[in-house]
Amino acid sequence: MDEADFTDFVTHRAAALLRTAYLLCGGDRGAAQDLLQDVLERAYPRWRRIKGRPEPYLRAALANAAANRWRNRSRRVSEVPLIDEAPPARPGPEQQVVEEDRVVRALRTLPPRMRAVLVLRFFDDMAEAEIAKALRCSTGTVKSQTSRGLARLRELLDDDLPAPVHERTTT
Amino acid sequence: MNTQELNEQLHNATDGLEPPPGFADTVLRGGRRRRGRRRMVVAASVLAVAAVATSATVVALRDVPQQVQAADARLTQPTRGDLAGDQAFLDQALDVWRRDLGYAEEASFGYYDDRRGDPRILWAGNTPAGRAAIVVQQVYVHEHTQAQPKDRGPQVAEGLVTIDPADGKLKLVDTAYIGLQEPTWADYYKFGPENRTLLIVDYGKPLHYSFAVGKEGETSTRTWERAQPRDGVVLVHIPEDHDPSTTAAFQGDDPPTVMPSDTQIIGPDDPWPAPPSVYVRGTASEFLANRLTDPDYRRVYPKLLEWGNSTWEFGNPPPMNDVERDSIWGLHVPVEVWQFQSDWDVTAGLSDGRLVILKETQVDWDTPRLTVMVSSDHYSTEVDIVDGGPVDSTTVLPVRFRIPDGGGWIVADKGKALSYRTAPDGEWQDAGRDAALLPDNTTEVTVDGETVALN
Repeated sequence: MDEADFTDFVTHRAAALLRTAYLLCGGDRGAAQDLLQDVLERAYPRWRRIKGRPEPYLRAALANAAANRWRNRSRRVSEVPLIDEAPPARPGPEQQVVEEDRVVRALRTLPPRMRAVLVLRFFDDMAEAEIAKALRCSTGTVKSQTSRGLARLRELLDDDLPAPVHERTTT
Repeated sequence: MNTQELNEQLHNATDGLEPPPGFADTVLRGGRRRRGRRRMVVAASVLAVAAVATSATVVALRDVPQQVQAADARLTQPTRGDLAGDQAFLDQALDVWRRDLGYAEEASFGYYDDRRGDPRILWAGNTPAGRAAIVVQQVYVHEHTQAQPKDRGPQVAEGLVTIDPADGKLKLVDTAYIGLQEPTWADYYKFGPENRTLLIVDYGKPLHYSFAVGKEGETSTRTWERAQPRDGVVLVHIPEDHDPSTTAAFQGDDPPTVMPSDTQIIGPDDPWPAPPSVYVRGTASEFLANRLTDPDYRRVYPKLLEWGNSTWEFGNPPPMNDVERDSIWGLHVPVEVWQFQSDWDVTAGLSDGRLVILKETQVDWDTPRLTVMVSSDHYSTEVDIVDGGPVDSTTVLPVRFRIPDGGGWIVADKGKALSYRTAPDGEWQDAGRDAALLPDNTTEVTVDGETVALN
């Protein structure tokens, strides 16, 4: 176990991973921090077994842990209002903040796996094949979840998100 | 808003998010604790010695008759301590016990599901951290629970009720882990502000405590102080210049100078598979932090096949040792999947160049499943993780997996002789023992003479 290497990684990359976790948890900062801590603690005993870059590995672990976490605890998660605040009439810095908040709130209402697909795809810029591997599903599932997720976001935001353009695959 | 704008909004929404100060240290401490727990689980399943996966700890090779005898003594001794006559406090402590026992970590394993008779107070007294009571109760550990087989039957639950310094309320702040009780263990608790009050329960044997771990070369060593009990307990203040997390207690003669568990505290890595002797027990604050806030949300206990650390190789896999195999596996199977995973595996190098590694995994309380990594080549450049279905440990030939695209069957039943045939009236072919890679058109397998159809 190279403890110094692990500590160094956490020190330098925890913020980036926390941001992913924050979106995976639908904007719940406390839950995101718990989730990240949980995943990193689990990774610690296995650290020396991770060859190559640990960050993609941990992002995948975060996405899976988030999905399972919400699955297991869903009965205790209270309903969250979809969009409970009307945006200001004119665009501006305040409008921008409200829009960002609305996106996170909208994400929160999505099923966890669909949310994970959108976060990995549009926040972490992962390819569909990478997401499929991370979430242990087919690329077809990733495509359909992306499509449905964006449609749902569009509904929630009453906006005009365009239909997604999928990557070309050989399978 | 297009997808590019969505990307920007997601980044803007998370800009400035930072972990709290000291996050890396917190993670490191948690990781070490988990590693300790995990090792205990491994030890329980592989060595069939220590029992439960918990943060607390204790002890050595088990002597059931002595333990039952000790349990009986706890249930019959009169209450001792300077608060033994304070009936109001005793009643309060018993109420807390009844309220909190289901939240204790060991409740996860079903140890406290069947409580027999009334709880009673073994000791009650004033301590530097406030009023405290040791409570005991007979319990019966059933076969259907997650408890280790050796722990099933009548047992005694024991715990400490005292003030939680975080909110000043009376709580159950620690329990003596049934699955870890041993003749040489000392029931002891570390509680109060900064966990600096040490309470050791006296059972008539010499008692010792040790604050610190030293080091001689590569060996972790301890020095011990003999403790003098009074009214059935020893109360000691852990000095400010010592870390309560390293403080340990021992009952009997000749406490060990070298404790394998100490290597977990100060390194180097990996004391296993050395047999455990005495472990440092967790603190009250650690116990409280790991309580089951919802008793229904129990901690996970592995239910994997007890096949030990076996590797069966077939075909022409690349030469690799356990670490290399685990590295390949670990790279591709997400952490959540191998929350628990078997130490045994089957590895096959197929004639078409594919590499297959099969393990048993368990997520949460789910039934264990076969998880199979199938890579396109020996270098694992393209990998599929395949769900091989649930594992029923009660069936003959619990491991049956058909490799996709005509790769054949992987079957396993440790300790059993295997043979197979590819047609109903075909000849039986010997397939060795334990595990086998069989042709894709195999229709039946015999396991110690019993025929199993593959479908």
